[in-house]
Amino acid sequence: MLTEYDLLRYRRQIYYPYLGEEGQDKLKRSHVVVAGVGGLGSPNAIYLAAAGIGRLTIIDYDVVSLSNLNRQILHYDQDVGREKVVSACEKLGRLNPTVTVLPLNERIDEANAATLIDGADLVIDGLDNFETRLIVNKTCVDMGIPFIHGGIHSLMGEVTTIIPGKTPCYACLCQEIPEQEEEIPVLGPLPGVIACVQVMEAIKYLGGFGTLLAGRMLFIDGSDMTFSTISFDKAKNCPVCGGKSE
Amino acid sequence: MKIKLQTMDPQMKRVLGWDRKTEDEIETEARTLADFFRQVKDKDGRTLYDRFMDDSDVIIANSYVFFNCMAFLKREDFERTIKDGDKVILMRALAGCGAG
Repeated sequence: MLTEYDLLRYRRQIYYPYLGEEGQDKLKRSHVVVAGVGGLGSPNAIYLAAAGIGRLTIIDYDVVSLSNLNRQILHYDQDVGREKVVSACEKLGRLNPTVTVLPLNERIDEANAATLIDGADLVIDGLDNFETRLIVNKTCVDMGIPFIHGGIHSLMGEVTTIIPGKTPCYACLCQEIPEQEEEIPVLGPLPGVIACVQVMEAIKYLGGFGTLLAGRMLFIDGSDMTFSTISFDKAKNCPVCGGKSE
Repeated sequence: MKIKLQTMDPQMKRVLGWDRKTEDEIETEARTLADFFRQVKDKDGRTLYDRFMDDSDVIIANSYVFFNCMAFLKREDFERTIKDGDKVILMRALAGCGAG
C-alpha cells in the first residue's frame, strides 16, 4: 500500500495514467534482480530505485577500479578498491531509503544462479560477458522469470525483453560463447541509454502497461543516432526454451 | 530475384564496404541461403559464407544472422531455400561493458 510519502515522491509518474497509484503499488511490491552493477547495472539500479521498485537484489563479485568510472556511475573516486555491491548499496540507500537493497558479492555460475535469483519478479541484464548471460538466460527461462537483456560495444547497443514461454530467449540468438575482448571501447553515455531502455521495459512489465520489446531487438547506433528494431522468432529446437510457445 | 541484405552495425557495414547505406537489394540466382552467402563478398573479396561459418556446425558465435525474422544459428539453417523478397539481417552480438 502506498504511503503519503510514496504519493508525493512518485507523484510525477503516478500522474501517468497507465501507471497510476495501482501501477506504483505494483512497483513497490516488486523484486528485481540486477545482475552486474557496472556500466549497465549502475544506471539500471539507479533508475529502478528512483522509480520505487520495492526490493532490489544487486549481484556482482568485482571491486571498483579507476577505469570503471567513466560509465559506472554508482561508483565514485573514493570507492576504488571497494566491492561494487557495497558501493552500490550505499548510494542506492541514499537515493531512496524506502527501497530494500540486498547486495550479493557473488559470481553467478550454473551452480548458484537459481538460488541467487529465486523469488525475483524480473532479472535485468547488467552483465559484461556472454557466458554468464547464457547461464542467467537459461535459469530465468527454467524458473519462468522475465529477463531484460542489454548489451553494448563502443557506440552500439541492444535491448530485448525475454518473457519465458512467450518470446524467444537469448539462446535463440546465441548458443555458443563468442570470443570476447578483454577490454572493449565504451563511451559512458551509451550504457546509460541502453540501461534506461531496459528499466523502461522493466517498469512497463511490472506496472502492467505498454508494449514490450518482446520478440524484438532494439539496436542503437550512437554514432549516427539510429534506433532500429528487428523482430525475431524462437529458434527451431532452441536447447533452452525449446523454440516453443506456451 | 532480389534478396534484401541489411545491417545497422557499423563494424558490419565496414566489412561489407558500405559507407552510409544500411541495406542493399542484391540480384541473385542462388537457390539456398548458403548459396547466397557464397555469392556475396565483403570488401576484401571474402564471401559471407567464409566469414560467418567456421569449421564447426554453427555460424561464428559473435554474430547474429536473421533470415525473415528468424535467427539462424546452425549450418543446416543455411540450406533453407530462398525466394524473391527474402530479407537477411547481419548484426554483431554485443556483450556488456567488459572489465576494466
